[in-house]
Amino acid sequence: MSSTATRGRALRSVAFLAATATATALALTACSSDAQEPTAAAAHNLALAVVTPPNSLDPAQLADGQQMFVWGSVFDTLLYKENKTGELKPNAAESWEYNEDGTQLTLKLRKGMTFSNGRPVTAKAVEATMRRTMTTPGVLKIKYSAVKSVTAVDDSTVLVEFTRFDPQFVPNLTLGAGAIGDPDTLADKRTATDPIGSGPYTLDTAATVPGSKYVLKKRNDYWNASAYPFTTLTVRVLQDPTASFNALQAGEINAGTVQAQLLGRLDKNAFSTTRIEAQAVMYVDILDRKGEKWPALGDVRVRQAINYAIDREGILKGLLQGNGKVTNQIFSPYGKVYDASLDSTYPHDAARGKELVREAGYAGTTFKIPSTFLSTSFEASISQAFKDIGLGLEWVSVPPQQAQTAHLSGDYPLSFQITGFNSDPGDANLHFGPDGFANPRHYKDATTDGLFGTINTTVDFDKALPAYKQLNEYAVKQAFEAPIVFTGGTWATAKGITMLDDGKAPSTARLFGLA
Amino acid sequence: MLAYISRRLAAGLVLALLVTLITFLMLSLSFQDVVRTILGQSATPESVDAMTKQLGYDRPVLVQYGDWLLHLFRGDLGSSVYTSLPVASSVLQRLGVTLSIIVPALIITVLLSTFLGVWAASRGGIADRVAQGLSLVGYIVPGLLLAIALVYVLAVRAKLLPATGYTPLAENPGAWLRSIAIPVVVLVIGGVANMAAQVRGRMIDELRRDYVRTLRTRGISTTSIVVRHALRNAASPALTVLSLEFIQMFGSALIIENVFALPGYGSYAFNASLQGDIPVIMGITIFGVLLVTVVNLGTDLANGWLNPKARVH
Repeated sequence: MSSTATRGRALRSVAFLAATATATALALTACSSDAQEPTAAAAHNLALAVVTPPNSLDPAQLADGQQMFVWGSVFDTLLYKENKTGELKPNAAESWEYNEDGTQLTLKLRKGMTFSNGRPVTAKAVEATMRRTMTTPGVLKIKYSAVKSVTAVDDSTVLVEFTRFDPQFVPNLTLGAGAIGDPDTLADKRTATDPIGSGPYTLDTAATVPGSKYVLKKRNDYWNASAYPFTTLTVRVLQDPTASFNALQAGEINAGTVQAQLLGRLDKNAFSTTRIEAQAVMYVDILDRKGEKWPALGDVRVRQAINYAIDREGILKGLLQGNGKVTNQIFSPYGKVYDASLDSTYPHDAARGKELVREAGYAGTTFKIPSTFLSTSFEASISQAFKDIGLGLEWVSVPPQQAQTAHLSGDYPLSFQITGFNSDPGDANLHFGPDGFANPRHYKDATTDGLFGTINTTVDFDKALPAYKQLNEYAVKQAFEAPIVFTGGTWATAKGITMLDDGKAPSTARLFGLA
Repeated sequence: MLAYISRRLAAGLVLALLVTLITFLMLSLSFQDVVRTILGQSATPESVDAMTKQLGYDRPVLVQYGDWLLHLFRGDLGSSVYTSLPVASSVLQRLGVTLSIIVPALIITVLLSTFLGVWAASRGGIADRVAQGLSLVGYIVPGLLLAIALVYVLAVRAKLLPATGYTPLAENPGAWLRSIAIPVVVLVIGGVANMAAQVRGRMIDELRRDYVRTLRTRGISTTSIVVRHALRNAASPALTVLSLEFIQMFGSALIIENVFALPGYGSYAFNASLQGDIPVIMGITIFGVLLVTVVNLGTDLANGWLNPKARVH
């Protein structure tokens, strides 16, 4: 017994020592922690959270959205969108000019720019990057579908020739299609993971953990260094909203989006918030607009009835905690095509919708629709809306990697989508163009043909604007889609950091400044 | 013994081949979907065809699998179709993160479970009730909830530990310890709840056996009976539970990695599956099968060492 007691004491002593050692180690390391206080701006460090890591850093594979925080820091784009206005502005190209019919675009490059390896940025570099993107299978090749040739006229002039005027091309130069890579390293294997660009930062590969954390160091020799006050930019991939919120509160990041339900817990004295009212549009896409396979959807009354049926305010308040804005149209409220008066076209009126369905003679019709990771939270509300007007919905479970195939397969009459904004020309084409993603059955009629005829031949956007507006109004009245809400978000920034944009500019480090 | 180990490893390899073949055949059904996902909304039939060809997905499935196998034997698991990062080094890097949480968690789980189980079984009474109560609490409290609560208290409020992220051991041992502290505690609580009950049960059975009574009548001390005889006999089934616990912790790691934003194996596998990143999924599959094979083999060998009756000659 005494032996047991001795052993027990010994075990307790060991346990106590181990616990003390661990606690001491933790306390000591806590003291030497590299965790930053929320006032990290004093050190000119910006650490922000994103949900999506960049796929590839190859200039021919650059995806837009949050991925741009990383690659947009390594690469310069030819143009950029100004904070708070979304206006196109010169960047690496100090000017751009179309010929009369929009089949030639002349870009004049800024002088004195260099890649991070010290080589000069010349028209030859732009030519090489563009030519490679045109011929490399990937996300950007399609953006060059109208380009016939790219020629470096002289050291600072690039001539892009088109088979036809492409109204989306210039806005795309603010995004991946406008990135400039170092022509001498473009073909290297490292380009996909550690490319040479002429942007304001270089990737610190030693400190970077791909898919988790990207550390970027500012280039002091960058031509526009004053627009980027942060000496270090850290992009943390935090897919879980609670993890992101915790990291923000713990001072591990100093900028990040915060879910509406967590906003109340944010310390107002330590953080300021910026509300982005519209980041993307959520809508039920009517895929068979002509009613070729599902005749009910070819009847405008049924399409309008679906629009009347959806309780947009209910979805916004109940499921999105008010984070966003209800809409009857898909064009960005920050663009020029958006028309606020159209948003009262379809008030929530199930009785009116039911009447329209009955008039059209399609009461009792049931449609299949893919159930994806995007739709799950909204399916009950949308199904109820269809039920309210005498229609039915059958959600068919589709794995994430098959969501796009299902949308394009022709097997479904409807699809639930949340799509980010691009530009007014880009959005017009994506939703209503005969080859647009949201229009996989290539619907067109005399009106859309005529309007796209004008849009695709009018080089001056302001002159084409009436046609865009007519297209928007026509699409709303014809109910080609059932837009629900513009989904929004809220950025929180720690003391010392300020948000310079409100949702109109792309996701780059330029959105943030020193307070 | 060597022949036994060789046979088990060979069986593991055959299993790995079968599992990877089945996985590849299942993945082959979605090659086109993956290409469309890579190309995004602007994918056209022409660009889908071009990229399908570029990735080699237009070849017969068995030819592609054979090609993958050939590269595997050369130690090349290919590159992610999204990031172009090499799969082998990425998987190893991610596995390192996950193992650096699971291994300490497992060691602490074994020590605590053994202590609690033996204490409860040998002392009985209040000690037993306390141990069972602790196990029950560990079962009842969801790991995710516990993780969130610990982060809030220790990281957000007290700022003693990091809320997210991982520091490699080689980079900064102190920061590494801090970065794994809460995840390890969460895994340990769940693990101890399960394993302590198993050890307790086995120990009670052993302490009721005739040989224990005989040892007692011969004046052998309780500590000696418990530690040298009963625990050794009870350890064999506990080892099997331990190997299952190890595999289960790999599953739990996904949740833990997500909550703590750790760049581990679970989150890597999850994201690759969501995206349909075929080379990564194949790499994860082969590593997973080999890992399970090695753990099971290790468990059997340890069982044989502990229990001569279980030894394979």
